[in-house]
Amino acid sequence: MDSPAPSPSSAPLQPTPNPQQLDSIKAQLDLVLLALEALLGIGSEAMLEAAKSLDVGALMGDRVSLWRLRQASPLRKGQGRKKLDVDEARSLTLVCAHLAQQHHTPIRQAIERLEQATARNQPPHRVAMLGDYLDAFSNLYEERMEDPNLTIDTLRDLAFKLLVDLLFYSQSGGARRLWIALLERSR
Amino acid sequence: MSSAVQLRALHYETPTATLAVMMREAAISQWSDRPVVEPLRFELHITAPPDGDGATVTLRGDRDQLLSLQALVQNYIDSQLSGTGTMPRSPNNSPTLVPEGLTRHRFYGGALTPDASTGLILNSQQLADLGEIFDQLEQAVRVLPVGIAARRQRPWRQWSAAAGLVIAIGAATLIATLPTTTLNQTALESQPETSRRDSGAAPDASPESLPPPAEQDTARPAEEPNTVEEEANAGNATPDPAAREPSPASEETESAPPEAVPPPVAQRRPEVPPSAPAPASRPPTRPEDSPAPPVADDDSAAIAIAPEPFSSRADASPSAQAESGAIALRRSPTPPALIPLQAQLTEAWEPPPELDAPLDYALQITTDGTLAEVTATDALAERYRDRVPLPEIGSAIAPPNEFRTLGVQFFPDGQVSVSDRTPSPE
Repeated sequence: MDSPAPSPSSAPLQPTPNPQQLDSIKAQLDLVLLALEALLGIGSEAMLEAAKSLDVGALMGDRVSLWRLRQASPLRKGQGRKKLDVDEARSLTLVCAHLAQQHHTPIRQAIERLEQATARNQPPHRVAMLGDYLDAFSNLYEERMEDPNLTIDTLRDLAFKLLVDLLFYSQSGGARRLWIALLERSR
Repeated sequence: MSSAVQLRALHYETPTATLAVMMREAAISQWSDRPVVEPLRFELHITAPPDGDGATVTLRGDRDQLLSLQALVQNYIDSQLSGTGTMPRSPNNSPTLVPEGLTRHRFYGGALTPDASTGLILNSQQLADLGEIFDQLEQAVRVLPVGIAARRQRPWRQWSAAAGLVIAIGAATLIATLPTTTLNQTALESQPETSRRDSGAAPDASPESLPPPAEQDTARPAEEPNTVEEEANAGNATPDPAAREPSPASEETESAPPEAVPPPVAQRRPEVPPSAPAPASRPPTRPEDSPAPPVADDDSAAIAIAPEPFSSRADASPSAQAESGAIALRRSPTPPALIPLQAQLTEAWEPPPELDAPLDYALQITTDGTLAEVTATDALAERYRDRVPLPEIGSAIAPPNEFRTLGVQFFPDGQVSVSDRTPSPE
């Protein structure tokens, strides 16, 4: 079931975070996009398409500008990170929710498998869809992030937590929920 | 009160949850981009997803329960997404959600679920669907945080200042002109409350400074300001007994809170002897009376059944009149042409167990006999508007050119009365 996309306007996403919160927010947004990439196999093209359809293409009009936005995450490898402003954070939030809503069905299927595996005390990674997701998430994370102390179990828990969160972001109020969660987590 | 009821039935579906809400639309909707509504009742059906675990349950409740459930679900989801931890379980009987692992949540429904102690397991899909349903609801309508009827309530003390003034004026005039020698004790008891107080109070006495009411007075305190207000509205401070007669379209009826449904008349007057003389049947409608006399709540019923002139009521106690008046209302004759409608309504009417007073509606009929409008005649009837099996607007329910207004009363014992309330030509 694909839900309607949220309004392109970022006005409903209130309140506004302070600069200290934005540091945390850009890390979280990058992780949500990472989970979407790992589960759905989408890339920067889909994100740019989403930005265009949401009328926020001015902030991420090409791969380079999108990469620079995501590179702003403090978890990323590399130096000289760009500062993320509020409008950019809102735009990325809308893009995350839009992509999740576009792919509501596979996200729900993944959650269903995860629930079934959990109810049967079955290791989730033995379920094909979830195993593929875990592999992709781990690879992308290790490729892009610098966190040498992150264990496999921690990475697995992070991946599944993000997967469950995607289910809520894939619904009609997903952008609002993601924005509130970003603000709350960054406090 | 005589206000047209505008009800909306909203229905939302997600894969594991279905929500049906009966709502009353507020007049202020015209100033809002979305309808402003007051939920009356809801039914939420939660099913387990295919090949998944999770509870299957149906929750039913009223406005407050819907709002608390909505707030619980939304706040819980937000707290889970933001990782701010679990919400403390409410010590009272309100619903609560507690996480059990990553994909399971235990729902304690409080009064909504039969077994509040063990709770129900909801999985992530069910929780997400609940959130989705409440999101849809929020996007479709704006829910009033307070009840519409509650906002109409006017505490009787609000009128105490005006009542005191009118009492003072009325008492002075009444004592001077009323032939008290013709009033025996029975007649005195049957007077409106204000008259009794007038006779024993100083002209400048305010309601607060009045002596405590007599024992039987405590049975109907709410009528006091009403009667005084009637006098004030009429602008008539003369002791003319007829002028003190309360009108069926009383302010008390309009302001009666739906939550505070008084007991039936017969229960309220237990001191009535069984051998009390039966009063006359329902008197003819006076010109100033509303064409739809309210009977649904106790106060209005008590007012509607005692409209005789003061002097003629002297021998009958008000309680006896009230009791037999209720019987008279119950037995109001149904015109032969309306008997099929009455039978249809009786068959369909399932009185709610908590209902303890009749529900009264006025039905406006077009010349071709179809139903044009349904009006609840008081707050209680308005509150239960969605529970009565009235025909749909536009359906043919009467012979053409025969009735303009019908009165339909739904009684708590399952009976239904249909009467002709077409105003007689002047």
